[in-house]
Amino acid sequence: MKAGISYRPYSKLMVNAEVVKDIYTKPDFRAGIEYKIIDKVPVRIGVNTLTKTMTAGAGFYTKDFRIDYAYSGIQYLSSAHSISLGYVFKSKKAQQVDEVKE
Amino acid sequence: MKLRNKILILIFLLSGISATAQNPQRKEIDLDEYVLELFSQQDDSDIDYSDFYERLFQYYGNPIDLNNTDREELSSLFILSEQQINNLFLYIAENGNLLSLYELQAVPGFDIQTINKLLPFVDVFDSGINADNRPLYKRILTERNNYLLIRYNMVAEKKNGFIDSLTKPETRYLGNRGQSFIRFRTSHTKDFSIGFTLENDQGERLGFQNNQFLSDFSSFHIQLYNKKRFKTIAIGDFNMSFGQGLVIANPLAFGKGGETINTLRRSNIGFKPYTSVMETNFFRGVGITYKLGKFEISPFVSYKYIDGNVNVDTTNNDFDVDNSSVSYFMTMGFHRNLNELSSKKTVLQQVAGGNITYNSTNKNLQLGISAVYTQFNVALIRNPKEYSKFEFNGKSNFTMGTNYSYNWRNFNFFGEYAMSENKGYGYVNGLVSSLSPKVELAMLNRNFSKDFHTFYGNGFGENTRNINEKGTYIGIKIKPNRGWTIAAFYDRFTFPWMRSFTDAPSSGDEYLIRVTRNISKQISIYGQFRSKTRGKNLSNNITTMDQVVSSTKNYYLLNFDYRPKELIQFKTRVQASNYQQMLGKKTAGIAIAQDITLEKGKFKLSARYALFDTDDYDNRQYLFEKDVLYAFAFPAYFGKGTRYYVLINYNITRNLEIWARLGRYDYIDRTVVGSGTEQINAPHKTELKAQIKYVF
Repeated sequence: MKAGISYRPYSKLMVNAEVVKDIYTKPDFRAGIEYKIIDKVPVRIGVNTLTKTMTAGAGFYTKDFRIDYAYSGIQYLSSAHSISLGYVFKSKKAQQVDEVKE
Repeated sequence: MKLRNKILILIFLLSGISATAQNPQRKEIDLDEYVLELFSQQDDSDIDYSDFYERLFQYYGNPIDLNNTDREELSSLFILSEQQINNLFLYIAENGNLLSLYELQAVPGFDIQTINKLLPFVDVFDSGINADNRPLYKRILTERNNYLLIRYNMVAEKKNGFIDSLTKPETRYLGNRGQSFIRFRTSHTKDFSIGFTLENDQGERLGFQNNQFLSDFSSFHIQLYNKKRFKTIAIGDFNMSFGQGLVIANPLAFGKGGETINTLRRSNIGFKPYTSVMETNFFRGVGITYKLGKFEISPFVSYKYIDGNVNVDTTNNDFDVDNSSVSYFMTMGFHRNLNELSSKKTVLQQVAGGNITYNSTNKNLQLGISAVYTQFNVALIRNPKEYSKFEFNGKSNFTMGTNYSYNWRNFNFFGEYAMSENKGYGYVNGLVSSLSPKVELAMLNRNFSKDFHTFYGNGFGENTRNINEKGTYIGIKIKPNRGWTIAAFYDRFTFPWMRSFTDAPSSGDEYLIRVTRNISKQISIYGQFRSKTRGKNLSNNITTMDQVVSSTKNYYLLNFDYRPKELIQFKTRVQASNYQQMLGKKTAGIAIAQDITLEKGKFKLSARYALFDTDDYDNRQYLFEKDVLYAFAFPAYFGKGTRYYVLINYNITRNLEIWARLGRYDYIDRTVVGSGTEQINAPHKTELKAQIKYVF
């Protein structure tokens, strides 16, 4: 079961915190921050107390594509790298709305 | 901005801060809340915080000139965020020097709470027209920012060390039962500081025997500032801090605590007078800081005798220095009986070193190099132990490091790389940032090899010394709206080699969350939870080999402040902890304290009544107590019992002020307090203290 809170004081910054509890394990407190240093590039850091994991990552977003990379360091285990690639499907109408916004 | 417009705005702003004069009234500061936020609940508290406390008071007596300061000086107060510091410099660059402290309200990001916290330590000076052009000696003689402080305290019950029948001749205390202390200081911001200190602990003998000057510990300093190209000339006793403190740092360590952002970064603040009575961790000699364009060059030398347990080689019926050795240095500064006196000032410590700092024109980049060479006249050879086999042994050591600090928008990146003679290394890299006016972030990564030897270093870390540690820290502070503050940090660390009581490489982590709610000007409440897990030898182990197991300590804290009227203030504090090794027995401790402070005109009274109940020493509760001016009380309550104290302060005249304090512990779980020569044969301990301050 999860319970969490997300705080977005303005468009460039997001702070999240949550607690995750599984019946068989102790509760896990997690927190993360995402900050857009420039409009297309969000940078993230995060923490998990149960597994003593620290993560860091960044992304690059364009209108159609997004790419994200993350590095996790779990204590006692070697580090893990993750990468994701995404494509944004937009209906013609949504595309028009976006263009108007810009 | 035109001067006329500025003045118009100032008139509108006058309503914000209440006072009558040109600048808001310098209210007598209550450093306690501010200090409480900075100091964590220490586990190993041998550190003398009175030095930092006194430095704050120094700023109170010699406020920082906001029109004439730099980033390092402002961040050494731990009050302003990166963005606030940036905004202040930007504001001054665009609008000219500040005309008065009221103008701070116009600086973006300076809310009333921050300004009120800052007011006691800053001022706005009108340099030029009123500059003091008299000769230096005249300025010193007529300086009104001076004081002479005389303090005496003693324990009412007789400790064993003072009783002939309970001690051997070599452990019997030779002095009287009181601790006496005299300090004089006169100083003027950015001009000079002169002072001396004489201190004698309980049991130490007064007099001029054994090269002593009246009291067991004596110290003096003369410092001159801004004399042509010499930014500082320091003679006597001093400290300094360069870069991130891996090579040379002020011995006061700010570790992790309720202040999750500002304590990460060390300030590059050069030479400062040493005025504390820790009797250790300072330099005695000469140091200067010389300005050469964008460079500041700070060489220094120190020549001083320190206490050490020397094993004398008497094969030739002579004190043969080359074949003698010292197995450890004493840092407590106690010279009360023959045993302690035999180690007094037995080792000569000579130090030479320096720092060169470069500041770019726009002040965004700072680079520095620091180096220190230390030589003892007797070699340090520790008793060989497995866990300390990588520690320093020998007669001399050289440590050198380079540091940087770079500002980019609202980010400050900083770091230092250092190496000791034996190729041991240490480095820190970090950043502090205001991601938005409401959110601050701090991160730091550190790595100290198991054989990194830095004698005067005090960079950020889990351990009190920078050796044998690797870790990463992330801290955050959020102020979602006025009145609420949420601060948290997470720190993860490993120790590549063994430590005392931990017979294998180990690791751990620590996290904290503090929520503060300022309900109104009169009411404020905060709660804090903290958890620290570390590997430690299993206690009561019956197997042949020690095992390192995970040991966790949790801390809980709730604090309530209520100030119904100007003259009366209440504080209620509940703090508790529990400690558990693996799945072993859980022990706990709790302390509840109620404080009251009354102020009326020249008279002030503070009192506390507290109850504590701890299962063991692991669960001792550190509570900050109000004490006489310039003294700092942060004792640990442990066992089962009660504590109370009463402190009275009276301003007799403008020049004369007196204090009296009575404190008492009553225990129900023991019949004696303390041990060895410090033991009191009664289940209670009463301390009496009196102090006089005279301003010439």
